[in-house]
Amino acid sequence: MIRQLSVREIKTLHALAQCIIPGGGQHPFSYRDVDYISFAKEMIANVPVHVRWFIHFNLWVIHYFSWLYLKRPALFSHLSFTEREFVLTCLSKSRWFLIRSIYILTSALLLIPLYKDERVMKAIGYFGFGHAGNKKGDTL
Amino acid sequence: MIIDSQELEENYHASADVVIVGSGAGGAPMAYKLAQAGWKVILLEEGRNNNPADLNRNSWEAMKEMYRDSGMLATLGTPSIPLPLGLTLGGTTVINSGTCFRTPEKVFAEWKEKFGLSEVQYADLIPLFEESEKMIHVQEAPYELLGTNNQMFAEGARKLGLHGRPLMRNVINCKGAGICAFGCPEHAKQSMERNFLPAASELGATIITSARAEKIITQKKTAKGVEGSFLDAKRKRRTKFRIDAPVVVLSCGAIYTPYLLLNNGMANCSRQVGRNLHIHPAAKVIAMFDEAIDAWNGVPQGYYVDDYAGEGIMFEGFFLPPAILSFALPAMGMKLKKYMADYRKMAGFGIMVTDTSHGRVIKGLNHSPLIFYNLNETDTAKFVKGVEIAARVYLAAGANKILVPIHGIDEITCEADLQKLHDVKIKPGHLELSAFHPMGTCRMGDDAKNSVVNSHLETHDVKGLFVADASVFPSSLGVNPQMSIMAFSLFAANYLLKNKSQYSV
Repeated sequence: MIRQLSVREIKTLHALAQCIIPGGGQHPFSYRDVDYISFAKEMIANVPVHVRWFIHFNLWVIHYFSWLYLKRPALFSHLSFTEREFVLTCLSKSRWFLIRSIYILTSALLLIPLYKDERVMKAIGYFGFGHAGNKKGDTL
Repeated sequence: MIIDSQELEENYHASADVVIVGSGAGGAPMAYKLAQAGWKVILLEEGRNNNPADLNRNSWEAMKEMYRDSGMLATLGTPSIPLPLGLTLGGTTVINSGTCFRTPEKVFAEWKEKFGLSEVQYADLIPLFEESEKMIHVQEAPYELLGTNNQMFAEGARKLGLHGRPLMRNVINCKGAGICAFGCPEHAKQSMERNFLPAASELGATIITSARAEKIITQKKTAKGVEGSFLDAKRKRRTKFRIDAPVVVLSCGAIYTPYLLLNNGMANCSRQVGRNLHIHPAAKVIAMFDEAIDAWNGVPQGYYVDDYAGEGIMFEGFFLPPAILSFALPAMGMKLKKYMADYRKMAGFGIMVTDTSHGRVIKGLNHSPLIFYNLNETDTAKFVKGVEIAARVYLAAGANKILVPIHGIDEITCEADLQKLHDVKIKPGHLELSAFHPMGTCRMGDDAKNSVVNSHLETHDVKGLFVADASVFPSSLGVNPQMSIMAFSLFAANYLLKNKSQYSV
């Protein structure tokens, strides 16, 4: 029996998504445009057991241990956007690979569903393989 | 006959002359060669018979269907390294880049010197390379198909006086769809399910997909067959099967072959099963140009530079769809969106290292092995040198910014920035790597005390049990391994044909 995402983990993912795939910027698509929760559930169902544990562990660490960087008691999903961004920057820039990999794997849960979306791919100019051949200007 | 196990009855029981586990570069040529000689062959493949054309418009869907564990297999250690493997009919040949190199003579000579390999000479392998190359249509990638991605690197390399050339690839009518790693949508790449496997099937071999081998049956240290499970549509166990055969060939790759042997407590008197893992760790360097490159347009891995191959550093082209590239870039939030908005202006090249580091495969949980691998300081230094050379090449080609896979050095914009690579001591944990060529975990050699199989790939401990995949290579090969795997597999097949009476076939 595979343990799916808990309410706390879903909250953490929402809080992460706002920082990792924010609105505005160079292309209009953001966390509002993709169902990253369904993707995370799908990924959990398809990865080996130790990766599944690592996903749950990462979300747990991010949720409960943000205080290590902020030096005050705090749960990740209760932090302001700026504070969350600061915590994630610390994780992604850590000199310890294990800590960086917490960020990398968690960000993959959000970035893959965004950039596999055909609207997003088209917005950034990736047309990929088209039935008429893979030539510039072909649409999906 | 290629048949899905769901079409077979419960508790399926059959007998054959040989049962082969795995349909990749090791299993498929073996099946073909033995079927051609009239042997009754049953080949088992855990993956499905996928049609890449149905899947690869979406890289994640393709990974879910054709990669083991959806491509999320990774090593444990410093650094942790993603190690994607194929799980589909044709094995990893379906999702590789189609690059073909023969075993370097120098590497083979080192193997001979250290491990004996008394039964095989390099000259024996040459006709087997030729046979495989003919079967899978190996040819040089035409320059016009390389796309701007490879052409930019070639231009920079030329300016620096480096020597590169288009890679040899197994393709027919390649149109440069640009997504080799997710299965060729045009069926141009000549992976195993396009040639050896249908040919074996026509010659009478039975190929069963969605069939997971779990137990190797032996009697008095002699192989007798394989037991396992047929899988349902959700990849859960549906029913058991048993195949009786006097010859069993494991071609599950350098992670799952040792895993199967360890699970069965077999062929491990040397205690070398699962050890000596090499993976050809690889790093990617991304360059940003002022103009659109459209790196996805053309053959992703079409060009290479081998000036530093003697030092164990090889440069080969690569590029990834946005979904996969996005989380490999050293940025977050708005900065990442800015990078991704410039996706059309990105180019990418890979640095593959002949690793002296080695790891180990052990039994894990829930049909997942655990893979331990720590990168050593020697290989780390090779990466630093490789990144510096690749960055120089891109600067010479006119890149305005280079993103390197080293912690703390995110961007290089000019020659002076390259000094950053020498200002701090770069440790293994500072690198972001991936790997695609596991090998060495059942190494071959003459001495049963320090190797798992002999030079005709039969295990020292169990008669009739063969290993035909990259796990038999005693050290890091230094080049993409599919041709070497095919040649050694055909060598073992020829041995079996010459000595079939020994195996009651």
